Amino acid sequence: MANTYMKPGDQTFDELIGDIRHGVYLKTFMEWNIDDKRFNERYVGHEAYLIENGELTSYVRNPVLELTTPKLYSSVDAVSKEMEFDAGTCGKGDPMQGAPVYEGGPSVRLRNIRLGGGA
Amino acid sequence: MQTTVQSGESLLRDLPRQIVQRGAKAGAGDIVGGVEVEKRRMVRFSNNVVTVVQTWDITSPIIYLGFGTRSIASRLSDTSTAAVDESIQQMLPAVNALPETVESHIPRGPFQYKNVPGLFDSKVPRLEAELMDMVESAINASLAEGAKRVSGVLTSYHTRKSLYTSTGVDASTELTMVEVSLRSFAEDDASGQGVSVSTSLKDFDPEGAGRESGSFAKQSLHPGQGHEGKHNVVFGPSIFANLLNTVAFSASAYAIDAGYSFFADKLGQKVGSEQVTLVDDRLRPAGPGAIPFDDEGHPSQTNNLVAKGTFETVSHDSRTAAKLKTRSTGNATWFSDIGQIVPIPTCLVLDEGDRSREDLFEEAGDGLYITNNWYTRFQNYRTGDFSTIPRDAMFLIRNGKLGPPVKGLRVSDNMIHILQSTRAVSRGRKWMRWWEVDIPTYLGHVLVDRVGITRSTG
Repeated sequence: MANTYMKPGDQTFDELIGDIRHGVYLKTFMEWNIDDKRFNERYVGHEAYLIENGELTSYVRNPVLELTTPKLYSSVDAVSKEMEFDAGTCGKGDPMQGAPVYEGGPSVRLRNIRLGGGA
Repeated sequence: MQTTVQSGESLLRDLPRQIVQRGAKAGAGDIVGGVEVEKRRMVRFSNNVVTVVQTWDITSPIIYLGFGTRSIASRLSDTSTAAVDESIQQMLPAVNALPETVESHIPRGPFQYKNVPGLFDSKVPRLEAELMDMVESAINASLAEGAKRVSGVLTSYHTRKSLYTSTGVDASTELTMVEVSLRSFAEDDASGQGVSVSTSLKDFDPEGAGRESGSFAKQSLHPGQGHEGKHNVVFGPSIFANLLNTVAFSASAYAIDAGYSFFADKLGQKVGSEQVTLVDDRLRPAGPGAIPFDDEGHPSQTNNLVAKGTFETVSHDSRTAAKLKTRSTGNATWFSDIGQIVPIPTCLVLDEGDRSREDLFEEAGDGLYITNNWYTRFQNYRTGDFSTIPRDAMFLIRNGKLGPPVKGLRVSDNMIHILQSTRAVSRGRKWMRWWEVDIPTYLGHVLVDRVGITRSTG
């Protein structure tokens, strides 16, 4: 899938976080992986912020989002209208081939997700 | 501009010399001219039948230009002298734009290279229809063990490589390798992997790989959900080879310099338990990844990366060695991911212990046996925090014995912790190399205490 993204919604980013009393904004991520059934996935925030009463406040270190794919998508309750994309490469093989991809989309809000880390 | 296109023996002999002449004319002080000629034959198969057969003839000239405090390298796919000239003209402004570093020079030859036996088998370049027979034997062996579907890839490699430098190096070598990696399914959630890798046909065992893969698939039927926590884990050769590849990369001066190493500032320190001795043995007889010289013409060495738990050797090429005021370890390697020659270990050997796999289960008591993985990703390269996803066969260990299969778990830990918590290493090693194991690695099973295991929260 070289050019797949989530359909944008009708809220601004500020509206997306505006009614969050206590949450986390994962802007970018570092560690990530997914199993071969695409069922279990994990993302560890790289640049991430605490959301308090609708405002981004302090930096959050290494928040871990580890959940199933159905849980992820069923927890989405709002999607922003702004979209951002980057060029990327997806490894395919065997033998190794780099497939150019366009990756990104809108900001997405998930409700009642547990963030954790470590065993 | 006159152009010459060469092929075969004359290409291997003459093109490196022509690169050096042209580099000198362009004003470079240190020049490496190299050419690699590879024939690769691949047979892919899925759902028990062959789906793709493909042959590649890949010829890759390599140009390295050194200007004292700056250097640049390029790998081409065009063997004409016009392409070499054009590439050098493109490299000159690029190298001038680089920041200056410590002055360094490529190794001064000539060198006497060690003869490493078993790196070439004349039967491998002649393999054609036999590759299909090998695939068939692997599939049949897997099905006989109880698999229903078998997929994978079998590839043979024949590589000829020559190198000529402005400092008196004149080297050439011929290498072969044949490898198979297959995955068998007994049901959708019951799978197993099998691998065989060798430089020669006599040690290549596709049927054995098929048996292993099919057997794991059958044993994995009806897996239960595993539990998160700290578990004693017996790692199979495939997953532990993947983890050791990250150890080898961390031992590279390039990774340390770039901030991608969990071994930074740890030279001479304990980074693992007494059980961990990892060698980059580029002179190992019949070792996939072994080669008598590196991409600067420096003779290969046997380097103890980690010796009884102590980080003993940083892998260097001439540039990184000059920067850290030490000597090259003979690891200069063209690294296609970044398009540079950097120091990289290429032939990993983990010291063996004296226990069997079953002894490790007994020592583990209660825990997990994980055979394979994919997607090892670092949260923090400097600290070594990472996670990786077990795939294919995974089992509980109960009361020191192999228990029922489980699924749905993730290894979420730290590489230094993994090395320091290594309690035992088995005897009975095998070579591993596949999609997730880029650097060939020779190892057995490994028992690690209290490994972090996580699972999805919902």
